[in-house]
Amino acid sequence: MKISRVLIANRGEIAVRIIKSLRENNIESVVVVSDVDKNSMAAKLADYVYEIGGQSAAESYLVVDKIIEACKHYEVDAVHPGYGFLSEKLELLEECSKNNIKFIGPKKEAIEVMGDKILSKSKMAAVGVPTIPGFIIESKDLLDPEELLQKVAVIKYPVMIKASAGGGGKGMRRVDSEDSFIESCMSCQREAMSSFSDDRIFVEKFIENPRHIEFQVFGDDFGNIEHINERDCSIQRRNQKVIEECPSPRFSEDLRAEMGNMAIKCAKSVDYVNAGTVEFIVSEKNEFFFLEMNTRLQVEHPVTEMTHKVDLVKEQILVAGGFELSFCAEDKVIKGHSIECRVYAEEPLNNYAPSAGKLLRCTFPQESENVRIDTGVRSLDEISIYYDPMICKIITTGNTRKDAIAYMINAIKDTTIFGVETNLSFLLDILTEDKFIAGEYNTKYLEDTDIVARNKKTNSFNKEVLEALVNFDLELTHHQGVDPFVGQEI
Amino acid sequence: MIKKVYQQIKPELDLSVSFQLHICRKTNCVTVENIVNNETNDEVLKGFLLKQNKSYVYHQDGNKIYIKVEGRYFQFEEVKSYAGLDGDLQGDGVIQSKMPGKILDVLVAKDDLVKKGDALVIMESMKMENTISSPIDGVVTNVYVGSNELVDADQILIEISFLE
Repeated sequence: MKISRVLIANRGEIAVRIIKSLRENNIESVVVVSDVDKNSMAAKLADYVYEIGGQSAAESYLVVDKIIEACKHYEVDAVHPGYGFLSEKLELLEECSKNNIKFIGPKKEAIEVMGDKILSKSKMAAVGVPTIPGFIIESKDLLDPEELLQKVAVIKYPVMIKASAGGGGKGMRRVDSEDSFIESCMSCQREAMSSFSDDRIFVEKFIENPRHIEFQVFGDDFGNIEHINERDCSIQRRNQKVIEECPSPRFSEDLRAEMGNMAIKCAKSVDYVNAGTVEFIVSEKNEFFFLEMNTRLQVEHPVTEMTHKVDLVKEQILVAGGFELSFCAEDKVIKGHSIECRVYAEEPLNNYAPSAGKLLRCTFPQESENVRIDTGVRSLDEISIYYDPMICKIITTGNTRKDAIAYMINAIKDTTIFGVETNLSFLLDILTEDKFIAGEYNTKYLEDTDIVARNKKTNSFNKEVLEALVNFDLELTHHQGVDPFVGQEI
Repeated sequence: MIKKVYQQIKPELDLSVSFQLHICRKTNCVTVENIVNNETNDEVLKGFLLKQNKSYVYHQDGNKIYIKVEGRYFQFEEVKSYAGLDGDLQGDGVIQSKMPGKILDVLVAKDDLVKKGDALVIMESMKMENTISSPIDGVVTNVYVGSNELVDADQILIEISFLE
């Protein structure tokens, strides 16, 4: 089919990023906007804008009827769901096919299986992919705590509990003993209910000091399924990713080949079409277990794009249009090293509490072959309480990991965000820490190295900082009308 | 001479270094004072000039000043007088919401004794659960919110008094 107009059922940086690829391929873009996003960067860049009203996600980007209404109004050929929101909801896919609109993503069966943590796990175990022992907990199970605790004892503490529906680590908690197990279950249930309207939760054995490694896979309508290598997403706070890189540091060719084949096996078992990601947890002994498959484009897809010189959104549209995958052998080889930092409006020193407000100043470094900025906001835009607090993603690429880190440190220093609290200086403290530099990290990195304490120290307005900025010489201060603070921004 | 006094926002992050900026527009001079010990650290801090090889970004918005130095961020807010400062610095038990959100659970009631660090309220903002803890040892004197209540930023949730 010919795709000449695409609706983006999303907002923020990913909407902007999709518009860019559509434009490069001479495809018209339509974005839907809530009342909050009427003047967003995405709304400004898109060819057409459809106002769906509402403020919260539940009133806007999660309302399938409104999205379909917008599709019909602008007679679009296809819908790109981005990530989050409706990207992994069957309802959108089903309404699209009813209305003869192409959903840019996998087929119904793949979303059905992979969207269910229990079903996906049993399916993967059945085709020979290693999985972690665990089981589901429903509301009624909490009525008999004794029996529940006995069941948990079988898989042994520590265990992890999380929302059964959805992804992104919402509601996820580690529990070390039966003392706090029931209480944690209830808290997890509440978050599951408010985020996904589904209070089922899931408990499983906790793997000590694991790394989180995922494989980018891609399938087409002709049964071709390929993987284009891994991303290491082990640097996480509250089980949400902060820094991702490709390739994974200290990762062997053998393990890459073995896990890559396993990722393809996962995708094949659900006849996977379009872009997807198979997430694995890797133990200290390099044993790996299937975690979940995300049936959409990932937030961190740019590190794969930069190291493989491919455009995953372009490929998604190609495949959705009924063409064959266009990756050649060279496309599947990792070239150089790429790192992504997620810049969040949050306070790392206050338990990563999100920070809302107006961006009084928001400037980024010039983009180049080494520096890529994916963002959906500009100076004077609002980081609203209604959506995810991500401000931008900074992606740097170099010939080596060392180069990529050096580019990243400069890029972060050259970014200025005033008006909300951000994790920018926190990111600097990670990028300059010995273990990170050595590539020796796992998902417990932020706690183990106590980056928060480091950040507290580097952020205090202390003697060193002042010396860097203050030059005690009153004689030189008599320049009338000159603002002493006008420093050059580089 | 115009003298404005700015106090660093969130000096609680490191109590040993809490500063005030004194900005004198006429001479383009900024002094920084250590307000914890009430000492002026003269040797280090007087001028606020850009060293040639360092870069910084400055932004003023209303009564707030934002400064970025080498990737580190500092915020200052204008204070009207010194008098108000001491009271603020001692820290009281007025618990406010940092941002709009929903109260999920209130874990204390009026007249409850609480210790510093005890969980008081579980709140949800921006799809995240946050626990608000007591900053002091004391007794709960007022509870202004209940479960499922929507609150605004800076709304007073709970008041705690020091025990005599």
